[in-house]
Amino acid sequence: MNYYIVTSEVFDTLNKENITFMRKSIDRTQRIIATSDTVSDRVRKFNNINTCSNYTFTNHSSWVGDGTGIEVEELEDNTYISELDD
Amino acid sequence: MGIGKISSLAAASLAKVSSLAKASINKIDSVTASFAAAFANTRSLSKSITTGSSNAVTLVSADGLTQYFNSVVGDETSPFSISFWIKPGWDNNLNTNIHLFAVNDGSSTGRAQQYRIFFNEANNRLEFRIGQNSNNRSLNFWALHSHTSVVNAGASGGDEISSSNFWSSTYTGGTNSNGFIHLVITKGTDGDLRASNINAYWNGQALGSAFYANGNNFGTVALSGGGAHEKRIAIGSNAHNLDKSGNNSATLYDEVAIFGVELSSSNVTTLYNGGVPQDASTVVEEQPLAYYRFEGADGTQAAEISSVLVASGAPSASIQGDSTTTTTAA
Repeated sequence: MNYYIVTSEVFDTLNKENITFMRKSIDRTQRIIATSDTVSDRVRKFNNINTCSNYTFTNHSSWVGDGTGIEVEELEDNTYISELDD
Repeated sequence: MGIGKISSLAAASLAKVSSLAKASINKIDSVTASFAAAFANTRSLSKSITTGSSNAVTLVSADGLTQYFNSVVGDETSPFSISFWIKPGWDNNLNTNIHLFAVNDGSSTGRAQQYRIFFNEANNRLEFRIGQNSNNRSLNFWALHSHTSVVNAGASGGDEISSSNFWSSTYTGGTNSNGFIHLVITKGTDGDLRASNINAYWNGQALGSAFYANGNNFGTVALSGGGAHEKRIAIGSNAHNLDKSGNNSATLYDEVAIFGVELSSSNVTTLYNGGVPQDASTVVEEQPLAYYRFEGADGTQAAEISSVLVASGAPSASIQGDSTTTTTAA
């Protein structure tokens, strides 16, 4: 699995069937995603799920409103479901 | 007898009937008032957004843990229900989850003996999860924007939940006159969270089927409920590190009742009572395992804890730090 931050514009071009996690940034301009695809047009790439989670705790003001971050289990379990459009 | 006398007698009789009726009405009012007085609801729990153990609300027998609910949260085949009133304090910048009821084994691992109900605000989902570890777990959820006819019943236009306005202190959906929503989550005797095994009720109405017909399952759930298996049980935060309590302002919880049965829709309707909380320990045929009313006056923690109405042997609610009770009640 690959973990990225991409812009919302790039996200719109990606194959949603291969995306297992998606979280919008608080300002809605970026997305953290987990995908089986390789994405070259990205803002940031993470080595693994742990570094991705850690980044959100360090930069929580952009991603999480309660001062915490996105836990590893959230990245694993909060499955992206494109038909719910959430 | 002249018409004048008949009229006089009729007037006297009417006056007497009127007097008797008034007396009866006064008596009925008095009885009604005494019933109402018997269930005074004047306070609720205010779960601080300041997190950690020093601001947590936990159900404790000793050492911050309890075995009391193991017959339910320690057995994946046991039925379960939880009923409570909630007034959200989080706003649209939360962008994470807020835990409403959470259980784990007392460790810092969220999936260790997990049994939890939370609102995934980032995705507008009411979620339910059980499991004993990372490899053996089951989860399901209700996307609130897929059940708008229920969650928005009675809501004014500006309060409605939608796919762009997630459940929050601003977009509350339908509430009672005090701004609270009545939530009930139930589980049957299947060992996973398949849709047919669980229900969620919003203000007395079922939300409908959870998203995954068979649950989203990893391995096979086998919870541990023996006497040696202590559990940490938190209200308004997760259990493993006692955070995920929301943002903006404190979320209020009231009349938290935990049952060892799967409540029926009729039971839930009774508990909801048209938006007026009533005594959860008496209004359905099965009494709760424990019932936390949070009626204690603000002040010492001891006073708050001692005021909690619980069944014999049930753990007390430990209300720490910035968490307290407040006079805004459901």
